[in-house]
Amino acid sequence: MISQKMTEVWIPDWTRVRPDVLDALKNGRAMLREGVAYWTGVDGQRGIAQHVPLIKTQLAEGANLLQMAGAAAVPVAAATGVILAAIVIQTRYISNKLDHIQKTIDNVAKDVRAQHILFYADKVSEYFGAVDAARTILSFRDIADETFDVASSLIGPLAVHRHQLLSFADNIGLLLNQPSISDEHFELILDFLHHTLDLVPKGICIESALAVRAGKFGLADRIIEAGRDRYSIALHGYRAVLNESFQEIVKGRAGTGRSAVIRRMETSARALLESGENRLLLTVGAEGSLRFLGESNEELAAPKVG
Amino acid sequence: MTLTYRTDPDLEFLAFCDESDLSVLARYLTHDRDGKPRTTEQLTSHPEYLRHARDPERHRKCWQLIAAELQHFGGDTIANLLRGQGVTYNEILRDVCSRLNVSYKKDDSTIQLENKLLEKIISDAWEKLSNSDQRNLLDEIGIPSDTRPLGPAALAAIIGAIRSGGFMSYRIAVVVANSVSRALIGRGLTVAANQGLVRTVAILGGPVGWVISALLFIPVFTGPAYRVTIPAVLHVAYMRKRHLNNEHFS
Repeated sequence: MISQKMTEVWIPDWTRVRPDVLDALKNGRAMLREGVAYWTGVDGQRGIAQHVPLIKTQLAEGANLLQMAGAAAVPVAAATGVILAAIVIQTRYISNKLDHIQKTIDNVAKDVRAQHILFYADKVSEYFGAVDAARTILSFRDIADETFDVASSLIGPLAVHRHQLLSFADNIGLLLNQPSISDEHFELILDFLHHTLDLVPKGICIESALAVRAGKFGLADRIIEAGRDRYSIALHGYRAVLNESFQEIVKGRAGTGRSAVIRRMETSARALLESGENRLLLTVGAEGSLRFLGESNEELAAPKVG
Repeated sequence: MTLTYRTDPDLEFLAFCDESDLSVLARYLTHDRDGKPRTTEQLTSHPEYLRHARDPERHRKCWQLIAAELQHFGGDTIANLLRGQGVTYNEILRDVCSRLNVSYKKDDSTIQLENKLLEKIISDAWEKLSNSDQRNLLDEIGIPSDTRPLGPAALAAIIGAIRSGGFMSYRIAVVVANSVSRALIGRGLTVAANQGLVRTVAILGGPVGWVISALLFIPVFTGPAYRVTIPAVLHVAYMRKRHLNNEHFS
């Protein structure tokens, strides 16, 4: 029998949350930040509503976040978005994916020796490296008060690196349908774009959580909102690149190698373009509004990205 | 002789086509208008094709075999045997164009050749349209009545619409492929019809159907292989335009 690798995350124990707080969380009259429910002030109440008890749950490590969240041994109804954020922040899910991106970008940089590609390849490593470091800092929940300053100092550079990374993603897509690009290189670039765009929403989620750790709740929301808008542009560019490559195949100009690449990645590309997990992460953020609490249909009706 | 797909950039897009479109193409290659299996076809007895007999995606999974069968029908039997494979789609298309007296240039691309084939059919059908249907067709491609050309210039406007490769071009390809399907299989294509497409079919369907019948069934045009390759290339042209007019990754 194949044994499945397990990982643990802490999520809110809704059974121990007061009914009035739970109701307020569902209706947007309270928000959850770093395990604390705060009144939003909508109905005149301000300050802390309740310190939300956490419960440890085991997850089987899976290929995507929604699968992992769906298989969570959660004793009570829980918001999928909160579990997704917990997995991103508390597990090595991102670190494992980063290894693949790093290998891909190394190969792209090795093959295309253009100076700007090499420059931006470094920026990709810097962003995801910083995201991984931020994730580690966020995992120190027992000494959270000692991490306020370092969390605060990381927010700015992360945003800068993310903008550079997404500019790179926009531009490298333009290279794809040039005749000088080999089929192997074509596949590498598409693979890089795919994995980068899959990870960026997780990165934005961590950036937002970092702002929450630094006590900057408003900024945390703005990081999600602005990040979602910028990500939409990048995803739109990715879709355009895929369609352009596909049109070249239909016109008979692409050759069999590129057609085979598009065939191989068609399913995963569609999954990324329609990704429910990324949509949720860019809606609720790390531990933001819980208006989607336990209502899966509403979760998936979250604003569409791209 | 084994059915071997010859690497062909012009047919690679078949890998992304609908099951229903591919099944129609396979039907043209394997059965005649009376529904009898063609004696020279190899597709239906191929082990891979048989293996997917109950698979609802059978033709999608066997797209290379379907392409190979088309390539074999386009080539001479002896030459196919010597080569171990058929001829490219572009060669088949040129052969069909020559047979139907479509004038083309040596360096015309596959899309240009397919457009010229459609232009030929529409030109022949144009003469069979009533004056009011000619006017209606010009309305459909968006030529205002006050600047409307007459006579040959009007037909040139229609041909311009085909060459531009826009949605009108796709509509005309649907009308042609639909007429072929009705003539050979007895039913039309499964196409998501919008009002524009319905109107174009209503205007052009009859006259194009007469032209198609003449091309497919009058012996002066058709030898045994042309009875397969003419409908096949018209169907491939339609499938290509369908994909050119839709975003594959939406």
